[in-house]
Amino acid sequence: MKIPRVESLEKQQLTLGYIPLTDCAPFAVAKEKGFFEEQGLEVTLSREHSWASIRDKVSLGVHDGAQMLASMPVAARLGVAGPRLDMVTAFVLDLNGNAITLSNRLYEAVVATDPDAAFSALAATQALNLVIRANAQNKRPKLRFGVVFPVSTQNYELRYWLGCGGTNPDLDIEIVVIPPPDMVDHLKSGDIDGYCVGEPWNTVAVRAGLGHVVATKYELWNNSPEKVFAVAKRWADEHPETHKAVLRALMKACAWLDQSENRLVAAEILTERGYIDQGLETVALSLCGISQRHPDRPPEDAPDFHVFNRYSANFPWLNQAEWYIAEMYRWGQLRNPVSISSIAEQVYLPTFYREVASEIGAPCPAINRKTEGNLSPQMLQNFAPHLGPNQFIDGKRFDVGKVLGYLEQHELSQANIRELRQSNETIG
Amino acid sequence: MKRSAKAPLRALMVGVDGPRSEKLFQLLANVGIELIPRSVSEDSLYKLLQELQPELIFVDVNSTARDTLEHVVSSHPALPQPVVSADGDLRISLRRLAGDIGISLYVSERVSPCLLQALIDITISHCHSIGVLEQELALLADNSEIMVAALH
Repeated sequence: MKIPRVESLEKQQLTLGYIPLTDCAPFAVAKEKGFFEEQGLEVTLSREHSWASIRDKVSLGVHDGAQMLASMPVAARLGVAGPRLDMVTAFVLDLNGNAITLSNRLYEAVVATDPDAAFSALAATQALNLVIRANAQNKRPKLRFGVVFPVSTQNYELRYWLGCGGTNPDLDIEIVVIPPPDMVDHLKSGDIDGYCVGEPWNTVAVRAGLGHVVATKYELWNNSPEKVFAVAKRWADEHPETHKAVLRALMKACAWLDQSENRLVAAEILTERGYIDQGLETVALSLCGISQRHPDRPPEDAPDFHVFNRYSANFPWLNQAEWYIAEMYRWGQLRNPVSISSIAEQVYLPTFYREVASEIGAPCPAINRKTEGNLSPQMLQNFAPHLGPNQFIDGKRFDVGKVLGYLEQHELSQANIRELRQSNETIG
Repeated sequence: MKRSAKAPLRALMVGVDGPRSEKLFQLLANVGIELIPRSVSEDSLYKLLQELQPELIFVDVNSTARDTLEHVVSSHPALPQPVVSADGDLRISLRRLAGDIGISLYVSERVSPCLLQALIDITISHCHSIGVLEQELALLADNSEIMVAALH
Protein backbone atom coordinates (compact mmCIF):
# COMPACT_ATOMS: atom_id res chain seq x y z
CA MET A 1 0.00 0.00 0.00
CA LYS A 2 1.37 3.37 -1.01
CA ILE A 3 1.25 5.95 1.78
CA PRO A 4 1.86 9.39 0.30
CA ARG A 5 4.08 11.74 2.25
CA VAL A 6 2.55 14.48 4.34
CA GLU A 7 4.69 17.04 2.47
CA SER A 8 2.74 16.26 -0.68
CA LEU A 9 -0.48 17.57 0.86
CA GLU A 10 -1.42 21.01 -0.40
CA LYS A 11 -3.23 21.69 2.87
CA GLN A 12 -3.21 19.90 6.21
CA GLN A 13 -5.69 21.83 8.35
CA LEU A 14 -9.19 21.28 7.06
CA THR A 15 -12.69 22.21 8.16
CA LEU A 16 -15.43 19.85 7.03
CA GLY A 17 -19.14 20.49 7.54
CA TYR A 18 -21.70 17.92 8.60
CA ILE A 19 -25.34 17.76 9.65
CA PRO A 20 -26.13 15.96 12.92
CA LEU A 21 -27.70 12.83 11.45
CA THR A 22 -26.83 9.18 12.06
CA ASP A 23 -25.09 8.95 8.72
CA CYS A 24 -22.54 11.61 9.61
CA ALA A 25 -20.85 8.56 11.19
CA PRO A 26 -18.02 8.29 8.59
CA PHE A 27 -16.84 11.81 9.48
CA ALA A 28 -17.14 11.20 13.23
CA VAL A 29 -15.34 7.84 13.02
CA ALA A 30 -12.56 9.16 10.77
CA LYS A 31 -11.97 11.92 13.29
CA GLU A 32 -12.34 9.97 16.54
CA LYS A 33 -10.48 6.83 15.42
CA GLY A 34 -7.58 8.89 14.09
CA PHE A 35 -8.05 8.02 10.40
CA PHE A 36 -7.75 11.65 9.30
CA GLU A 37 -4.66 12.05 11.45
CA GLU A 38 -3.05 8.95 9.91
CA GLN A 39 -3.26 10.76 6.59
CA GLY A 40 -1.50 13.82 7.97
CA LEU A 41 -4.73 15.82 8.19
CA GLU A 42 -5.85 18.03 11.07
CA VAL A 43 -9.60 18.07 10.59
CA THR A 44 -12.09 20.25 12.41
CA LEU A 45 -15.64 19.00 12.00
CA SER A 46 -18.14 21.84 11.89
CA ARG A 47 -21.68 21.01 12.91
CA GLU A 48 -24.06 22.81 10.57
CA HIS A 49 -27.74 23.65 10.87
CA SER A 50 -28.88 23.59 7.26
CA TRP A 51 -27.99 22.17 3.86
CA ALA A 52 -28.04 25.67 2.39
CA SER A 53 -25.39 26.74 4.87
CA ILE A 54 -23.24 23.74 3.93
CA ARG A 55 -23.61 24.58 0.25
CA ASP A 56 -22.67 28.24 0.79
CA LYS A 57 -19.71 27.53 3.05
CA VAL A 58 -18.21 24.93 0.71
CA SER A 59 -18.80 27.08 -2.33
CA LEU A 60 -17.29 30.22 -0.77
CA GLY A 61 -14.32 28.34 0.67
CA VAL A 62 -15.31 28.86 4.31
CA HIS A 63 -15.21 25.05 4.56
CA ASP A 64 -12.93 22.75 2.59
CA GLY A 65 -15.61 20.13 2.03
CA ALA A 66 -18.72 18.66 3.56
CA GLN A 67 -21.26 15.93 3.86
CA MET A 68 -23.96 16.62 1.26
CA LEU A 69 -27.10 14.90 0.06
CA ALA A 70 -26.18 12.79 -3.00
CA SER A 71 -28.44 14.91 -5.20
CA MET A 72 -27.06 18.27 -4.00
CA PRO A 73 -23.86 18.64 -6.04
CA VAL A 74 -25.75 17.59 -9.17
CA ALA A 75 -28.51 20.13 -8.52
CA ALA A 76 -25.91 22.80 -7.75
CA ARG A 77 -24.13 22.19 -11.06
CA LEU A 78 -27.45 22.59 -12.86
CA GLY A 79 -28.62 25.56 -10.79
CA VAL A 80 -31.77 23.64 -9.85
CA ALA A 81 -33.74 25.32 -7.04
CA GLY A 82 -30.74 27.46 -6.17
CA PRO A 83 -27.62 29.11 -7.50
CA ARG A 84 -25.48 27.39 -10.13
CA LEU A 85 -22.29 26.20 -8.43
CA ASP A 86 -19.47 23.91 -9.47
CA MET A 87 -19.44 21.10 -6.93
CA VAL A 88 -17.92 17.65 -7.34
CA THR A 89 -17.96 14.40 -5.43
CA ALA A 90 -15.73 11.37 -5.68
CA PHE A 91 -17.08 9.55 -2.64
CA VAL A 92 -20.46 8.22 -1.50
CA LEU A 93 -20.61 8.16 2.29
CA ASP A 94 -23.53 5.77 2.69
CA LEU A 95 -26.50 4.00 1.14
CA ASN A 96 -30.13 3.90 2.36
CA GLY A 97 -30.75 5.42 5.81
CA ASN A 98 -34.02 7.36 5.24
CA ALA A 99 -37.65 6.47 5.85
CA ILE A 100 -41.16 7.84 5.43
CA THR A 101 -43.17 8.29 8.62
CA LEU A 102 -46.89 9.02 8.81
CA SER A 103 -48.73 10.54 11.77
CA ASN A 104 -50.82 8.11 13.80
CA ARG A 105 -54.04 9.60 12.45
CA LEU A 106 -53.04 9.30 8.81
CA TYR A 107 -51.54 5.85 9.32
CA GLU A 108 -54.79 4.62 10.85
CA ALA A 109 -56.76 5.99 7.90
CA VAL A 110 -54.37 4.31 5.45
CA VAL A 111 -54.48 0.92 7.18
CA ALA A 112 -58.27 1.14 7.53
CA THR A 113 -58.36 1.57 3.74
CA ASP A 114 -56.09 -1.43 3.12
CA PRO A 115 -54.79 -3.60 5.99
CA ASP A 116 -51.87 -4.69 3.77
CA ALA A 117 -50.54 -1.15 4.10
CA ALA A 118 -49.25 -2.14 7.53
CA PHE A 119 -46.81 -4.55 5.90
CA SER A 120 -46.12 -3.24 2.41
CA ALA A 121 -44.70 0.12 1.32
CA LEU A 122 -46.41 -0.27 -2.06
CA ALA A 123 -49.80 -1.10 -0.56
CA ALA A 124 -49.35 1.86 1.81
CA THR A 125 -48.88 4.40 -0.98
CA GLN A 126 -51.80 2.97 -2.96
CA ALA A 127 -54.03 3.15 0.12
CA LEU A 128 -52.80 6.66 0.85
CA ASN A 129 -53.88 7.69 -2.63
CA LEU A 130 -57.42 6.51 -1.87
CA VAL A 131 -57.36 8.48 1.40
CA ILE A 132 -56.18 11.58 -0.49
CA ARG A 133 -58.95 11.20 -3.08
CA ALA A 134 -61.57 10.79 -0.36
CA ASN A 135 -60.24 13.90 1.39
CA ALA A 136 -60.48 15.89 -1.84
CA GLN A 137 -64.05 14.73 -2.42
CA ASN A 138 -64.96 15.82 1.09
CA LYS A 139 -63.25 19.23 0.55
CA ARG A 140 -60.75 18.59 3.32
CA PRO A 141 -57.42 20.45 3.31
CA LYS A 142 -54.53 18.85 1.44
CA LEU A 143 -52.22 16.62 3.45
CA ARG A 144 -48.81 18.18 4.19
CA PHE A 145 -45.52 16.32 4.09
CA GLY A 146 -42.10 17.47 5.25
CA VAL A 147 -38.78 17.00 3.48
CA VAL A 148 -35.42 18.51 4.38
CA PHE A 149 -34.36 20.47 1.29
CA PRO A 150 -35.86 21.23 -2.14
CA VAL A 151 -33.28 19.10 -3.98
CA SER A 152 -32.91 16.47 -1.27
CA THR A 153 -32.80 12.73 -1.77
CA GLN A 154 -35.74 12.69 0.66
CA ASN A 155 -37.81 14.93 -1.63
CA TYR A 156 -37.24 12.59 -4.58
CA GLU A 157 -37.91 9.50 -2.44
CA LEU A 158 -41.17 10.87 -1.05
CA ARG A 159 -42.26 11.87 -4.56
CA TYR A 160 -41.29 8.48 -5.98
CA TRP A 161 -43.28 6.67 -3.31
CA LEU A 162 -46.32 8.91 -3.75
CA GLY A 163 -46.09 8.59 -7.53
CA CYS A 164 -46.14 4.78 -7.27
CA GLY A 165 -49.53 5.03 -5.62
CA GLY A 166 -50.90 7.42 -8.23
CA THR A 167 -50.57 10.55 -6.09
CA ASN A 168 -49.31 13.68 -7.81
CA PRO A 169 -47.05 15.33 -5.23
CA ASP A 170 -47.38 18.74 -6.88
CA LEU A 171 -51.17 18.77 -7.04
CA ASP A 172 -52.64 16.32 -4.55
CA ILE A 173 -50.62 17.14 -1.44
CA GLU A 174 -48.39 19.93 -0.13
CA ILE A 175 -44.65 19.50 0.44
CA VAL A 176 -42.86 21.80 2.87
CA VAL A 177 -39.22 22.00 3.94
CA ILE A 178 -38.51 21.54 7.64
CA PRO A 179 -35.14 21.06 9.38
CA PRO A 180 -34.69 17.38 10.39
CA PRO A 181 -34.58 18.03 14.17
CA ASP A 182 -37.92 19.90 13.94
CA MET A 183 -39.79 17.20 12.00
CA VAL A 184 -41.05 15.35 15.07
CA ASP A 185 -42.41 18.52 16.69
CA HIS A 186 -44.24 19.46 13.49
CA LEU A 187 -45.72 15.95 13.31
CA LYS A 188 -46.77 16.19 16.95
CA SER A 189 -48.43 19.58 16.48
CA GLY A 190 -50.38 18.33 13.47
CA ASP A 191 -48.72 20.87 11.20
CA ILE A 192 -47.63 18.02 8.92
CA ASP A 193 -49.12 14.58 8.31
CA GLY A 194 -45.90 12.79 7.46
CA TYR A 195 -42.32 13.23 6.40
CA CYS A 196 -39.33 11.68 4.71
CA VAL A 197 -36.13 12.15 6.67
CA GLY A 198 -32.89 10.46 7.70
CA GLU A 199 -32.26 8.75 11.00
CA PRO A 200 -32.65 9.15 13.90
CA TRP A 201 -35.78 11.23 13.25
CA ASN A 202 -38.04 8.35 12.17
CA THR A 203 -37.09 6.26 15.16
CA VAL A 204 -37.59 9.26 17.45
CA ALA A 205 -41.19 9.72 16.24
CA VAL A 206 -42.00 6.02 16.55
CA ARG A 207 -40.49 5.71 20.01
CA ALA A 208 -42.44 8.76 21.12
CA GLY A 209 -45.63 7.07 19.91
CA LEU A 210 -46.26 9.82 17.35
CA GLY A 211 -46.09 7.95 14.05
CA HIS A 212 -45.45 4.84 11.97
CA VAL A 213 -42.78 4.15 9.37
CA VAL A 214 -44.50 3.04 6.16
CA ALA A 215 -41.51 2.86 3.81
CA THR A 216 -37.74 2.86 4.03
CA LYS A 217 -35.36 4.22 1.45
CA TYR A 218 -34.11 0.64 1.05
CA GLU A 219 -37.62 -0.46 0.05
CA LEU A 220 -37.98 2.39 -2.44
CA TRP A 221 -34.67 1.72 -4.20
CA ASN A 222 -32.38 -0.86 -2.62
CA ASN A 223 -28.93 0.47 -1.78
CA SER A 224 -29.24 3.87 -3.38
CA PRO A 225 -26.79 6.63 -2.48
CA GLU A 226 -27.67 8.94 0.39
CA LYS A 227 -24.83 11.30 1.40
CA VAL A 228 -21.61 12.13 -0.42
CA PHE A 229 -18.41 13.91 0.46
CA ALA A 230 -18.50 16.98 -1.78
CA VAL A 231 -16.09 19.82 -2.45
CA ALA A 232 -16.04 22.85 -4.71
CA LYS A 233 -14.50 22.03 -8.08
CA ARG A 234 -12.07 24.89 -7.57
CA TRP A 235 -10.95 23.27 -4.28
CA ALA A 236 -10.63 19.83 -5.91
CA ASP A 237 -8.45 21.29 -8.67
CA GLU A 238 -6.19 23.09 -6.20
CA HIS A 239 -5.90 20.30 -3.63
CA PRO A 240 -5.74 16.91 -5.42
CA GLU A 241 -3.43 15.23 -2.90
CA THR A 242 -5.37 16.56 0.10
CA HIS A 243 -8.59 15.41 -1.55
CA LYS A 244 -7.15 11.92 -1.94
CA ALA A 245 -6.01 11.91 1.69
CA VAL A 246 -9.55 12.75 2.86
CA LEU A 247 -10.94 9.96 0.69
CA ARG A 248 -8.44 7.44 2.09
CA ALA A 249 -9.47 8.35 5.64
CA LEU A 250 -13.17 8.14 4.79
CA MET A 251 -12.69 4.78 3.01
CA LYS A 252 -11.10 3.42 6.15
CA ALA A 253 -13.87 4.86 8.33
CA CYS A 254 -16.59 3.38 6.12
CA ALA A 255 -14.90 -0.05 6.08
CA TRP A 256 -14.63 0.12 9.87
CA LEU A 257 -18.30 1.08 10.15
CA ASP A 258 -19.45 -1.89 8.08
CA GLN A 259 -17.96 -4.38 10.52
CA SER A 260 -21.05 -5.21 12.53
CA GLU A 261 -19.17 -5.37 15.81
CA ASN A 262 -18.28 -1.68 15.43
CA ARG A 263 -21.79 -0.33 14.97
CA LEU A 264 -22.58 0.03 18.68
CA VAL A 265 -19.22 1.73 19.23
CA ALA A 266 -20.12 4.12 16.41
CA ALA A 267 -23.45 4.90 18.08
CA GLU A 268 -21.55 5.65 21.30
CA ILE A 269 -19.19 7.97 19.43
CA LEU A 270 -22.11 9.84 17.84
CA THR A 271 -24.11 10.27 21.02
CA GLU A 272 -21.44 10.62 23.67
CA ARG A 273 -19.12 12.97 21.80
CA GLY A 274 -21.78 15.45 20.82
CA TYR A 275 -22.36 14.62 17.15
CA ILE A 276 -26.09 13.88 17.67
CA ASP A 277 -28.26 15.13 20.55
CA GLN A 278 -30.18 11.89 21.00
CA GLY A 279 -29.86 8.92 23.34
CA LEU A 280 -27.63 5.93 22.57
CA GLU A 281 -30.55 3.52 22.31
CA THR A 282 -32.35 5.60 19.68
CA VAL A 283 -29.29 6.07 17.49
CA ALA A 284 -28.00 2.51 17.97
CA LEU A 285 -31.22 0.89 16.70
CA SER A 286 -30.94 1.71 13.01
CA LEU A 287 -27.13 1.68 13.08
CA CYS A 288 -27.22 -1.88 14.41
CA GLY A 289 -29.60 -2.96 11.65
CA ILE A 290 -32.86 -2.77 13.57
CA SER A 291 -35.83 -0.76 12.35
CA GLN A 292 -38.55 0.27 14.78
CA ARG A 293 -41.41 1.01 12.42
CA HIS A 294 -44.37 0.93 14.78
CA PRO A 295 -44.80 1.96 18.42
CA ASP A 296 -46.95 -1.10 19.12
CA ARG A 297 -44.93 -3.78 17.37
CA PRO A 298 -41.48 -5.24 18.01
CA PRO A 299 -38.57 -3.81 15.99
CA GLU A 300 -37.66 -5.58 12.75
CA ASP A 301 -34.34 -6.73 11.38
CA ALA A 302 -33.09 -4.33 8.71
CA PRO A 303 -29.43 -5.29 8.22
CA ASP A 304 -29.00 -2.92 5.26
CA PHE A 305 -30.74 0.07 6.84
CA HIS A 306 -27.37 1.83 6.81
CA VAL A 307 -24.67 0.63 4.42
CA PHE A 308 -21.32 2.39 4.61
CA ASN A 309 -18.96 0.24 2.57
CA ARG A 310 -20.23 -3.12 1.29
CA TYR A 311 -21.86 -3.40 -2.14
CA SER A 312 -19.24 -0.95 -3.50
CA ALA A 313 -21.14 1.68 -1.54
CA ASN A 314 -18.52 4.41 -1.75
CA PHE A 315 -18.17 4.32 -5.52
CA PRO A 316 -19.75 7.36 -7.26
CA TRP A 317 -21.77 5.59 -9.96
CA LEU A 318 -22.51 7.92 -12.85
CA ASN A 319 -25.90 6.35 -13.51
CA GLN A 320 -26.97 7.28 -9.98
CA ALA A 321 -26.19 10.95 -10.64
CA GLU A 322 -28.18 10.53 -13.88
CA TRP A 323 -31.11 9.13 -11.89
CA TYR A 324 -31.25 12.31 -9.81
CA ILE A 325 -31.16 14.46 -12.94
CA ALA A 326 -34.02 12.35 -14.34
CA GLU A 327 -36.04 13.01 -11.19
CA MET A 328 -35.39 16.75 -11.48
CA TYR A 329 -36.89 16.60 -14.98
CA ARG A 330 -39.70 14.34 -13.85
CA TRP A 331 -40.87 16.76 -11.19
CA GLY A 332 -40.40 19.92 -13.22
CA GLN A 333 -37.48 21.30 -11.20
CA LEU A 334 -35.36 21.21 -14.35
CA ARG A 335 -36.84 22.20 -17.69
CA ASN A 336 -34.06 23.31 -20.02
CA PRO A 337 -32.57 20.35 -21.90
CA VAL A 338 -29.00 19.41 -20.97
CA SER A 339 -26.73 16.49 -21.79
CA ILE A 340 -27.56 14.29 -18.79
CA SER A 341 -24.54 12.00 -19.12
CA SER A 342 -22.17 14.93 -19.50
CA ILE A 343 -23.46 16.68 -16.36
CA ALA A 344 -23.16 13.44 -14.39
CA GLU A 345 -19.55 13.07 -15.58
CA GLN A 346 -18.73 16.62 -14.51
CA VAL A 347 -20.04 16.12 -10.97
CA TYR A 348 -19.48 12.48 -9.97
CA LEU A 349 -15.81 11.47 -10.29
CA PRO A 350 -15.44 7.66 -10.51
CA THR A 351 -11.97 7.87 -12.06
CA PHE A 352 -10.63 9.88 -9.14
CA TYR A 353 -12.17 7.37 -6.71
CA ARG A 354 -10.60 4.50 -8.65
CA GLU A 355 -7.18 6.15 -8.45
CA VAL A 356 -7.44 6.45 -4.67
CA ALA A 357 -8.79 2.92 -4.25
CA SER A 358 -5.98 1.45 -6.32
CA GLU A 359 -3.35 3.33 -4.27
CA ILE A 360 -4.51 1.60 -1.10
CA GLY A 361 -5.48 -1.72 -2.69
CA ALA A 362 -9.19 -1.32 -2.03
CA PRO A 363 -11.61 -3.15 -4.35
CA CYS A 364 -13.25 -0.93 -6.93
CA PRO A 365 -15.72 -1.45 -9.80
CA ALA A 366 -14.14 -1.44 -13.27
CA ILE A 367 -17.16 0.21 -14.88
CA ASN A 368 -18.70 3.65 -14.21
CA ARG A 369 -22.35 2.85 -14.77
CA LYS A 370 -24.57 -0.09 -13.88
CA THR A 371 -28.17 -1.05 -14.48
CA GLU A 372 -30.51 -0.48 -11.53
CA GLY A 373 -33.59 -2.52 -10.76
CA ASN A 374 -32.28 -5.86 -12.04
CA LEU A 375 -30.89 -7.54 -8.90
CA SER A 376 -33.10 -8.92 -6.13
CA PRO A 377 -31.84 -10.10 -2.72
CA GLN A 378 -32.67 -13.70 -3.69
CA MET A 379 -30.46 -13.49 -6.79
CA LEU A 380 -27.51 -12.33 -4.73
CA GLN A 381 -27.58 -14.81 -1.84
CA ASN A 382 -24.05 -16.00 -1.08
CA PHE A 383 -22.78 -13.87 -3.91
CA ALA A 384 -19.93 -11.38 -3.97
CA PRO A 385 -20.15 -8.66 -1.28
CA HIS A 386 -19.37 -6.05 -3.93
CA LEU A 387 -22.85 -6.28 -5.45
CA GLY A 388 -26.03 -5.45 -3.61
CA PRO A 389 -29.71 -5.69 -4.47
CA ASN A 390 -30.86 -2.66 -6.48
CA GLN A 391 -34.61 -3.08 -7.00
CA PHE A 392 -37.12 -0.25 -7.17
CA ILE A 393 -40.39 -0.50 -5.27
CA ASP A 394 -42.36 -0.43 -8.52
CA GLY A 395 -40.24 -3.09 -10.24
CA LYS A 396 -38.97 -0.69 -12.92
CA ARG A 397 -35.51 -0.97 -14.51
CA PHE A 398 -33.09 1.84 -15.11
CA ASP A 399 -30.80 0.49 -17.83
CA VAL A 400 -27.40 1.98 -18.58
CA GLY A 401 -27.75 4.62 -21.27
CA LYS A 402 -31.56 4.56 -21.11
CA VAL A 403 -32.34 7.55 -18.93
CA LEU A 404 -35.06 8.85 -21.20
CA GLY A 405 -36.54 5.39 -21.62
CA TYR A 406 -36.70 5.16 -17.85
CA LEU A 407 -38.40 8.53 -17.60
CA GLU A 408 -40.93 7.45 -20.21
CA GLN A 409 -42.00 4.54 -18.01
CA HIS A 410 -43.47 6.95 -15.46
CA GLU A 411 -47.01 8.18 -16.01
CA LEU A 412 -46.60 11.07 -13.61
CA SER A 413 -43.87 13.14 -15.23
CA GLN A 414 -43.35 16.69 -16.39
CA ALA A 415 -40.29 15.81 -18.49
CA ASN A 416 -40.39 16.89 -22.12
CA ILE A 417 -38.90 13.73 -23.60
CA ARG A 418 -38.94 15.01 -27.19
CA GLU A 419 -36.87 18.07 -26.27
CA LEU A 420 -34.55 15.98 -24.12
CA ARG A 421 -33.85 13.56 -26.97
CA GLN A 422 -32.33 16.41 -28.97
CA SER A 423 -29.79 17.12 -26.22
CA ASN A 424 -29.16 13.47 -25.45
CA GLU A 425 -28.65 11.83 -28.83
CA THR A 426 -26.48 9.07 -27.42
CA ILE A 427 -28.87 7.92 -24.73
CA GLY A 428 -32.21 6.33 -25.17
CA MET B 1 -49.36 42.94 -5.23
CA LYS B 2 -46.14 43.85 -7.04
CA ARG B 3 -44.31 46.83 -5.56
CA SER B 4 -43.44 49.88 -7.63
CA ALA B 5 -39.98 49.94 -9.20
CA LYS B 6 -39.48 53.35 -7.56
CA ALA B 7 -40.47 52.23 -4.07
CA PRO B 8 -37.61 52.15 -1.56
CA LEU B 9 -35.91 48.80 -1.17
CA ARG B 10 -37.13 46.77 1.77
CA ALA B 11 -35.12 44.28 3.77
CA LEU B 12 -36.13 41.43 6.04
CA MET B 13 -33.95 39.78 8.67
CA VAL B 14 -34.29 36.08 9.42
CA GLY B 15 -32.65 34.58 12.50
CA VAL B 16 -30.27 37.51 12.96
CA ASP B 17 -29.60 38.01 16.68
CA GLY B 18 -29.93 41.24 18.73
CA PRO B 19 -26.52 42.95 18.45
CA ARG B 20 -26.06 42.21 14.73
CA SER B 21 -29.66 43.10 14.08
CA GLU B 22 -29.14 46.53 15.69
CA LYS B 23 -26.01 47.16 13.62
CA LEU B 24 -27.81 46.20 10.42
CA PHE B 25 -30.81 48.33 11.35
CA GLN B 26 -28.58 51.41 11.75
CA LEU B 27 -26.79 50.70 8.50
CA LEU B 28 -29.93 50.12 6.45
CA ALA B 29 -31.59 53.23 7.87
CA ASN B 30 -28.51 55.29 6.92
CA VAL B 31 -28.55 54.14 3.31
CA GLY B 32 -32.32 54.49 2.92
CA ILE B 33 -33.32 50.83 2.92
CA GLU B 34 -36.47 50.14 4.87
CA LEU B 35 -36.27 47.31 7.39
CA ILE B 36 -39.46 45.29 7.66
CA PRO B 37 -40.11 45.14 11.40
CA ARG B 38 -41.23 41.52 11.53
CA SER B 39 -39.86 38.60 13.43
CA VAL B 40 -39.85 35.64 11.08
CA SER B 41 -39.73 32.00 12.08
CA GLU B 42 -39.35 29.06 9.71
CA ASP B 43 -43.04 28.25 10.24
CA SER B 44 -44.18 31.63 8.98
CA LEU B 45 -41.84 31.90 5.99
CA TYR B 46 -44.18 30.26 3.49
CA LYS B 47 -46.94 32.77 4.19
CA LEU B 48 -44.98 35.89 5.12
CA LEU B 49 -42.46 36.14 2.30
CA GLN B 50 -45.06 36.35 -0.43
CA GLU B 51 -47.04 38.82 1.62
CA LEU B 52 -44.09 41.08 2.50
CA GLN B 53 -42.15 40.81 -0.79
CA PRO B 54 -38.83 42.16 0.45
CA GLU B 55 -36.04 42.95 -2.03
CA LEU B 56 -33.33 41.88 0.41
CA ILE B 57 -33.17 39.14 3.01
CA PHE B 58 -30.38 39.05 5.58
CA VAL B 59 -30.29 35.59 7.16
CA ASP B 60 -28.02 34.19 9.82
CA VAL B 61 -25.75 31.76 8.01
CA ASN B 62 -26.48 29.18 10.73
CA SER B 63 -30.23 29.74 10.96
CA THR B 64 -32.29 26.55 11.02
CA ALA B 65 -34.76 28.39 8.77
CA ARG B 66 -32.29 28.46 5.85
CA ASP B 67 -33.56 25.38 4.05
CA THR B 68 -37.18 26.44 4.39
CA LEU B 69 -36.20 29.84 3.01
CA GLU B 70 -34.51 28.11 0.07
CA HIS B 71 -37.70 26.23 -0.69
CA VAL B 72 -39.90 29.32 -0.57
CA VAL B 73 -37.66 31.42 -2.83
CA SER B 74 -36.96 28.56 -5.26
CA SER B 75 -40.72 28.23 -5.76
CA HIS B 76 -41.16 31.99 -6.34
CA PRO B 77 -38.50 33.44 -8.68
CA ALA B 78 -39.70 37.02 -8.04
CA LEU B 79 -38.62 36.73 -4.41
CA PRO B 80 -34.99 37.40 -3.43
CA GLN B 81 -32.62 34.60 -4.45
CA PRO B 82 -29.46 33.42 -2.66
CA VAL B 83 -26.23 35.15 -3.63
CA VAL B 84 -23.51 32.52 -3.65
CA SER B 85 -22.09 31.94 -7.08
CA ALA B 86 -19.54 34.60 -7.77
CA ASP B 87 -15.96 35.13 -8.76
CA GLY B 88 -13.38 37.76 -7.94
CA ASP B 89 -14.10 40.54 -5.47
CA LEU B 90 -17.71 39.58 -4.89
CA ARG B 91 -16.73 36.04 -3.92
CA ILE B 92 -14.22 37.39 -1.40
CA SER B 93 -16.82 39.79 -0.01
CA LEU B 94 -19.45 37.05 0.28
CA ARG B 95 -16.96 34.82 2.02
CA ARG B 96 -16.25 37.56 4.58
CA LEU B 97 -19.94 38.27 5.00
CA ALA B 98 -20.64 34.58 5.72
CA GLY B 99 -17.44 33.70 7.56
CA ASP B 100 -16.80 36.87 9.61
CA ILE B 101 -20.23 38.43 10.04
CA GLY B 102 -22.26 35.20 9.85
CA ILE B 103 -24.76 36.56 7.33
CA SER B 104 -26.02 35.16 4.02
CA LEU B 105 -27.79 37.42 1.63
CA TYR B 106 -30.75 36.93 -0.70
CA VAL B 107 -31.56 39.67 -3.22
CA SER B 108 -34.23 40.29 -5.84
CA GLU B 109 -33.64 41.38 -9.44
CA ARG B 110 -34.11 45.02 -8.39
CA VAL B 111 -30.72 44.89 -6.68
CA SER B 112 -28.07 45.54 -9.32
CA PRO B 113 -24.61 43.88 -9.13
CA CYS B 114 -23.00 47.26 -8.28
CA LEU B 115 -25.48 47.93 -5.51
CA LEU B 116 -25.01 44.38 -4.23
CA GLN B 117 -21.22 44.74 -4.04
CA ALA B 118 -21.51 48.12 -2.30
CA LEU B 119 -24.08 46.81 0.14
CA ILE B 120 -22.02 43.78 1.10
CA ASP B 121 -18.86 45.82 1.52
CA ILE B 122 -20.53 48.45 3.67
CA THR B 123 -22.23 45.74 5.78
CA ILE B 124 -18.90 44.06 6.47
CA SER B 125 -17.21 47.37 7.16
CA HIS B 126 -20.02 48.68 9.37
CA CYS B 127 -20.39 45.49 11.44
CA HIS B 128 -16.63 45.14 11.74
CA SER B 129 -16.04 48.81 12.67
CA ILE B 130 -18.76 48.82 15.29
CA GLY B 131 -17.40 45.55 16.68
CA VAL B 132 -13.91 47.02 16.96
CA LEU B 133 -15.29 50.23 18.51
CA GLU B 134 -17.27 48.23 21.07
CA GLN B 135 -14.18 46.19 21.96
CA GLU B 136 -12.07 49.33 22.38
CA LEU B 137 -14.72 50.98 24.54
CA ALA B 138 -15.02 47.85 26.69
CA LEU B 139 -11.23 47.78 27.04
CA LEU B 140 -11.21 51.46 28.00
CA ALA B 141 -13.88 50.85 30.61
CA ASP B 142 -11.89 47.92 32.06
CA ASN B 143 -8.69 50.00 32.16
CA SER B 144 -10.51 52.90 33.83
CA GLU B 145 -11.82 50.59 36.54
CA ILE B 146 -8.31 49.23 37.11
CA MET B 147 -6.90 52.77 37.34
CA VAL B 148 -9.65 53.87 39.75
CA ALA B 149 -9.06 50.77 41.86
CA ALA B 150 -5.30 51.44 41.85
CA LEU B 151 -5.81 55.08 42.98
CA HIS B 152 -7.86 53.91 45.93
